[in-house]
Amino acid sequence: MPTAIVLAGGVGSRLYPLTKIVPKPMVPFAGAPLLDYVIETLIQSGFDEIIITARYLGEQIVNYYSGEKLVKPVLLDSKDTADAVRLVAGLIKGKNYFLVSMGDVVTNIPYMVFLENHVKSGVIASIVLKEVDNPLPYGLVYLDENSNVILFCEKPPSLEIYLLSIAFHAVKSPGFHSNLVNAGIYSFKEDIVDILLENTGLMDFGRHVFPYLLETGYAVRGWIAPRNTYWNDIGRVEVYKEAMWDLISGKIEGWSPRGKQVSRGIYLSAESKTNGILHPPVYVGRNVVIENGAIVGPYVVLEDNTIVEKNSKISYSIAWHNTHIGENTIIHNSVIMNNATIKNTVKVISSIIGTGCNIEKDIYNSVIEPCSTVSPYENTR
Amino acid sequence: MRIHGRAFKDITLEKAIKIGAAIGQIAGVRNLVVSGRDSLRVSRMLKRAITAGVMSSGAEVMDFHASLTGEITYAIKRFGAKMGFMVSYDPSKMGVLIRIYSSPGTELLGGDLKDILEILDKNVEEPQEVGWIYYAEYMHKLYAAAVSSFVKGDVISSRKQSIVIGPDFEPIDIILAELSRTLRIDQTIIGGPHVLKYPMCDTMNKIGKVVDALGADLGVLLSHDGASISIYLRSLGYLTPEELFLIALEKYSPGSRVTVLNPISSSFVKYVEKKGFDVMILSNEQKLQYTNRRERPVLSLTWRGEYVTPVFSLGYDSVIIYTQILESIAENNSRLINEISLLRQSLNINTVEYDQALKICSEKSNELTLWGCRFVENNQVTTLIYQPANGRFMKVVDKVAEVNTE
Repeated sequence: MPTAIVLAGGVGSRLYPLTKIVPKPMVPFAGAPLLDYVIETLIQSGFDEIIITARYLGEQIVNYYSGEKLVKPVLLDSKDTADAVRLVAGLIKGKNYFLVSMGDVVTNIPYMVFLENHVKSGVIASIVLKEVDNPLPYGLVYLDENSNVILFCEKPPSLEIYLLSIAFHAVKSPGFHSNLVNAGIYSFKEDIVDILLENTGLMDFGRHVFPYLLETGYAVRGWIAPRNTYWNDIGRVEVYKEAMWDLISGKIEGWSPRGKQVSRGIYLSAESKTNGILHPPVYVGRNVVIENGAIVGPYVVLEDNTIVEKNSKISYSIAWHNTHIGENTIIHNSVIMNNATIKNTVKVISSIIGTGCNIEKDIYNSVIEPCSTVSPYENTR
Repeated sequence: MRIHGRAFKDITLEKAIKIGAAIGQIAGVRNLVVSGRDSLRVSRMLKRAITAGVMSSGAEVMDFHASLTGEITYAIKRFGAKMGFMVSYDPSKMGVLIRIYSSPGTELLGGDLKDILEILDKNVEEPQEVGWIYYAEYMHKLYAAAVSSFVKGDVISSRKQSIVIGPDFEPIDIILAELSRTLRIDQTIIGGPHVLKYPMCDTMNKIGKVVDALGADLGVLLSHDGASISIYLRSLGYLTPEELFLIALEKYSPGSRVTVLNPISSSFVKYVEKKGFDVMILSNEQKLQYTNRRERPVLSLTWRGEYVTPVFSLGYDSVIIYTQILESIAENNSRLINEISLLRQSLNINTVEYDQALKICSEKSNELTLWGCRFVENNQVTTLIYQPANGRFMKVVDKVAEVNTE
């Protein structure tokens, strides 16, 4: 019975104001919360027990997944990632190996291949690594020629990557890759639980646990994800949009939006009514109404119960649940959060409109704070 | 407990070279020794002499120039150095202080210095091999990066806190500027005094006044070697070491272990235990070091206001505790202030005139601190801490905690 722990407790402050309304793993992602896709990928990979550790706005996660057969959502008062695993130690007791994944990474990595590789290696911990062009925003990892991790540095600021390279060459002269980052997916032997219970100062995997394991002589393996693996950490709103466009463009192999693909790049839910023009790629959710003359797309996601009135134009934008977009509006490069209303003839360009707000004037390059805190998932499931 | 004394008199250049040679011998040929000093001239001169000694033993030196104790202990761990040392001026003893560390960053105290002291009595032997020296000026950036990576940087930067820091000793200014840039802190640095004298009331006064004038979130007073720290909050003034510790503990889970060096307030210990932490109280620094290395508590506190975060490094490090406090405050500012206010109400607190407090400190305390002094009388621990609001010292009297770990 392979078990996976999905960490879904973070505040996601860089994704504000979206995360004022939903926890980061629950951001709408073309018909379902992002977390749903993560769980689905794990189940398809062969995991039959998935523990979700929730904290910030965690009730939403617990309510959403209550009653699911393979999924155990747990609401915790955890301080950080490793602390969350420590708090569910009782649930993973007796599992020889288990996988830990962040609940907010968009990836189709072959989870089971990674876990099997870890089991075969016999080490206490393995980390999925991804080659990136710019490692600055991520946790940086140096490997030796045998794929053993020799340095782990969480989110190093700018110049420090270069400096670390010099420093390490000066004293250890290892051969290493310089663009490998921590993908936020780990495999552990059961022994890690005892280490976490004995060392309560180890609060976070990236910042504390991996550096500690290396310092105390444990072997930690790096597993470089295959080159064609999709991986994106939706840390910022721009990246959230980018990942969404990749999803509806079919660039994430194994992930597809919840609606039915009626033609290339157009996903429609059965209950939607579309009388306007759709330019792919587009996702249209349940009970969405698009009136005559409206032009939707390219790169648009309309979540459930959205209404787009006649002659409006929407492109490169995401509208969360229950939004109402009036006649002759223009929405471009924006995120309209749930239950918001855009009045007739208003333009919203390169902006974020908060939950429950009524927009009566043109908005350019602005963030409008949420006017209410209602979740997009209320009354769903 | 440590190697200290007056420059040229107790600690001569010849003796400094011998100390270096002893450190190098213990480290071993071609093994790494990390070296650092504070920003003062005497320390600079003596560090060069010690470094020469280390090289004469065939060991290699990674030299950071002006540095903080926390940088040295962090670097020993980070680069797998066998030994390290830090030369600084100690105002409380009016002389030079040489801290010596062994891997993985534990300071050698008391009996642990025996090996070094024994070698000092021997003549320096003709070197078989001379070690190399690396100048690692980049260490400050590296260390600041490690510190900012240790805490939740996004939580801190989202609050955009305004901080007043003093004094501006090298390299504190470089490191904190780097941290402020990374963590998006609005930082004001206060100039330091030309002559160091504990307690640093003038600098404390300046920090307090600037914090109040700017409406800043907090003021930070650091010792010149970065070993100890005091924090000023507008609503509470300067915090006692125990109060500061309480704020830093906020990020750790109940059930965690902490270590404290007596004399410490028993009410504080009871309060922390009631919150669910396991408090180990130790009678001397050497035992504190051993316990920190063996037990790996989440945090460690000395009565002087020095802090250790063993997961990060085993040395006194005010910068890492400062960033943890930033994180706690970013997440729970008003609740923490209320908590400390309530705790103060339960204690015996009054004020003492400035001159009288300094007199008491010099008469009754063995050691002056950055912020004031502490002494024990009749099983009562008295803390005198300067407060700029009224120009007096806050006096906290409480039963001293009982040592529970030997």
